[in-house]
Amino acid sequence: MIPEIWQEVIHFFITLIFTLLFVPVIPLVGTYLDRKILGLMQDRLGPTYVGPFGSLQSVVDMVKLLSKEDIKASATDNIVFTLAPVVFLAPVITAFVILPFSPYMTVSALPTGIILYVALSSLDVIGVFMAGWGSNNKYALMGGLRSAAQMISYELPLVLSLIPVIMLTSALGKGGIGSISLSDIIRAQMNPWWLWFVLIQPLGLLIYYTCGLAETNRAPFDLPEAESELVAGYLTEYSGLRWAMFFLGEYANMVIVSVITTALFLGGWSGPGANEGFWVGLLGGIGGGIVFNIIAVFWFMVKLWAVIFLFVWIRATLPRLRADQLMRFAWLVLMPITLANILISGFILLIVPELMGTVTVLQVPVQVWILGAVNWVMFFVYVFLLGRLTGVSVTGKTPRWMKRRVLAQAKAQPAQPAAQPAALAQAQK
Amino acid sequence: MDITPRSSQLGPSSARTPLAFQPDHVAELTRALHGVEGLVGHPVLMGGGGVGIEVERARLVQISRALRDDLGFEMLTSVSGVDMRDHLEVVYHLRSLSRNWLLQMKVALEPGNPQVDSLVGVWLSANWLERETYDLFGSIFVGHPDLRRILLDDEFEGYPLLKSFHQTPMTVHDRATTQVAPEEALSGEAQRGVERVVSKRLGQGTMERLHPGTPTFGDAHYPDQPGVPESEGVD
Amino acid sequence: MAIDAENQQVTPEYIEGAEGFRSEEMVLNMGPQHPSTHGVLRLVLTLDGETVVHCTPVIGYLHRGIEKILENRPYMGGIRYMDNADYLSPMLNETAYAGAVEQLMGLEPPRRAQYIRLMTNEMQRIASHMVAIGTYLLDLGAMTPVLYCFRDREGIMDLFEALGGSRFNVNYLRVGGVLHDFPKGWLSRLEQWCNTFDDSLKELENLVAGNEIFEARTQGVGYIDPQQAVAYGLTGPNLRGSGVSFDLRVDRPYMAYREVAVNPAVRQEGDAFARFRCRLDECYESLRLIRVAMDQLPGGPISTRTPIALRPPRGETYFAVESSKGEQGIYLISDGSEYPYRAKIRGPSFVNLQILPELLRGHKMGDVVAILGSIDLVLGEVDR
Repeated sequence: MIPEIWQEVIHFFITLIFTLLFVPVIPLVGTYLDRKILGLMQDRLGPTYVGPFGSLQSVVDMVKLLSKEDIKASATDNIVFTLAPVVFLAPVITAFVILPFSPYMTVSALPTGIILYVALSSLDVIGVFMAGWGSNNKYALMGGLRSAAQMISYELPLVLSLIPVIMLTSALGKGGIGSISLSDIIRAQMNPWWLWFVLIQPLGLLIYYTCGLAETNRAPFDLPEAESELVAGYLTEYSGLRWAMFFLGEYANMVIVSVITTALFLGGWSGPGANEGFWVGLLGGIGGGIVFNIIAVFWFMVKLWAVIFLFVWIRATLPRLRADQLMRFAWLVLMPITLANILISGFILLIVPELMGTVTVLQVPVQVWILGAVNWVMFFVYVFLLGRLTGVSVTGKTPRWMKRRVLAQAKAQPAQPAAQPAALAQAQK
Repeated sequence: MDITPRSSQLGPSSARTPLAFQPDHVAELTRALHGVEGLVGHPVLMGGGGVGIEVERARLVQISRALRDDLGFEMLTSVSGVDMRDHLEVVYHLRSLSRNWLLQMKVALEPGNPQVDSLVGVWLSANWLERETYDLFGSIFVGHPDLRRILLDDEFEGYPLLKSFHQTPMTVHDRATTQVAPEEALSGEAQRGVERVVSKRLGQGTMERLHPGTPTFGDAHYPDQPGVPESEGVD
Repeated sequence: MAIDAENQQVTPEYIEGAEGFRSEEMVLNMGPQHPSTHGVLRLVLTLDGETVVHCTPVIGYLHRGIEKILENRPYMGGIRYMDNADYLSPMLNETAYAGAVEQLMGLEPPRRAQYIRLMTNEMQRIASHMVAIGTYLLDLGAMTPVLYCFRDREGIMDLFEALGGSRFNVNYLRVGGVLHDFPKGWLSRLEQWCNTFDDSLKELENLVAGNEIFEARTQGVGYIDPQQAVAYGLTGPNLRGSGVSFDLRVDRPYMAYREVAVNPAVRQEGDAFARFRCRLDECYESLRLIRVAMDQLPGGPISTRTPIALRPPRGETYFAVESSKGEQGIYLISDGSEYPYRAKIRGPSFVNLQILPELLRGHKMGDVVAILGSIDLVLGEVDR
């Protein structure tokens, strides 16, 4: 038998290599899937040439990017320009250590996992700022500022929408004390294995996912990357490997958002068959542990790729929001909803025990059911309101209230027709 | 000519009868035009239910205002120049949306002095339409706020749609001489090359700037070279 | 802001802001090569921060001298050049030219030819609107509808290829009628395509017209006042989107439109969404008209034989059709020879583009693409 210490070391290295392999592999697979799925949704084929079904396309692209000449404008602020991709990419890679692929495949099951994730995602903004500034290009600067503003604005609802989930762990987890460790949050969702937090906090998932879209600059918030908008984003001056690093960072960020979604809302590694006691009892210590790990990682991957597929699906479907609409949406719609969510969730979690009087076994399920019901109601109200606020129904008829508003706005600032030139008055005969 | 609708889906009132088959519309317009002074000659009936008038140059703006305000011609649809070989004409097409009229207004320009008043103060759409006419015909619109070329580049010389616009290249290379500018000094071999370029046929050199509508038909020559066929004139 | 018209120099002014903070207007060139300018259009924008203060469109990059060319081609040869004017609706341009010559000659094409022209015109209108809708959405960021629109357009292009040999510049119309009759089975293929297009329109309706983000970007943006629209000479969906119901097929009907009634699509709001909605509604209407025309298609000859070196009598005429962009007019002067003396093309996009500086003033930079796409320009028609 291998001594304990070596088992631990081997286990750690396997986990580390698995997680670190995720970092470069995910962008490769992610870009390929992005293009392929986008193509299939758009009634065309996507990459088909290189490899079976075009699967080696991203490898070939990476080779191309690596072999490109390193072009740098001479007037750029060199240190800032060179360090920007690094500052963008490093926090993203660092955040991979807390991702819980399975109970044994977490590089570092930090008790403060969520805080670390939040802190690291805030560091990305610095990278974007540096990219915009270091390019010495006024358009890139404007694009970088816009993108940084977008990322900062959407971070608040992102973080705040996770708070009700953490509150839930105090209700459902062990010992009545909440936890901000990702692994513990997943364990809190295993009480029956299907009681994922999405059933109790759908609004939280929706808000978190929307903010995740904005954080990773994906559609419909991809103004910084849009080719058809006037101002090119902060990536203008980057080419070749430097651009690849930003790209890598974006896709890795996407994966991290998806992992957090899966871990916090979709139950992480839970699924039918991911029952540690069962497998250990069946196959003994090491064997049972390995089988359990494989099943757990499998379920995690299934959910993870479903969430990533959703990223691609939304990109294929929705047009882009304008910059001011984006900001308005973050501050005037998402923030109040998120704060309301926290308020109401906390209120329910505190008031129900009070109302129920004695502490019984039923207390937790009652809390959870009431919270879930209220949250689903809030979810539908939010979706309904969103539809009303921004558009009209599918029939294509402008409702009268919107017609009045549109006409009133337009009439309030009538465009002045060209003033009659003075020279024409003399030409009158 | 059989125009009865055959399908049973069409009711008697759903298909609009065209203007040409309602002579009273045209007659109405012609009657209304009698009140306008400054016309040269009488209104002429044109195909498709339109009426054409010719207008004195001096009264153009006045008549235009009267047409817009009194007769209800809200839209200036088209401004076109015509090169009548000895003089230029500018042809305006006006539409009255409320009364469904189409009017063509012609004004003749002086032979040597192609100037006419600009109608920008009457109809806003005249702005670019007159610029285009100036660009292609050289007619000056007095009072236009911004009369410059619109379709051709600013350094273009000549007005292409004039009948007198010949198929000459706009820029011609000087033949290589002994007196070359120092910065353009070419070796003897290269000078021979320059001469060859200049005497190439039209359309093959890279430096000639022609109006793209110039017909070359593959065989055009410089007009000052012997043996040049004159362009077939239309009588 | 000083504009030196001679040299096209734009000198931005300094703006005194609050607390004596000086900022400068920025001149931004949306150059002739740009994914969103729908052709080689150059917009010189002057921005105050994010707001557009002034805009100067610079055109002429696609000027090919079509009017001069037409003066040197016989009528039968010249009709092919009309395909190049508005290269997204060649059939409609050809109809304008052929109709102008016929009006000059007093020639009435046979009824079957008129109905064929109506059908091909409406198909061309749908094709052009599909491009307009698809590219508009692509500019706004939705990558998928453009491919759906172009897929439907492929159906029309296949039909045109079967009909005239070429997908785009079909060169199918002649003075006096059309070139030849339908090939065998063409009408049933057309019917099949109409049925698939029904479903595609429903799909577009759900995917696009009801999309909240699209509506948020296009509603209230680019408002055109009806009086201003008429004063600027706008026609087509731009005019009808502002509430002015003027459609040449209805008010000045020509050819088979004298027998087939058209319901024009009119919207009152006047913003970009209204114009988009007009185009979508026109697609429905065109589909209906194609079906009616197929239903009512008369038999008979498809062309009045005109000589190749056609010499119409001396005279002049102005003939306009309702193209997908607006009023496509031909002012034709004939001097009795086989070449036109003057053929002026009144391109609707040229006149529609004039209003762009007025529209863009005061809007944000992000709205520039939304407004530009809603006017539906084709630079081939602007520059000719």
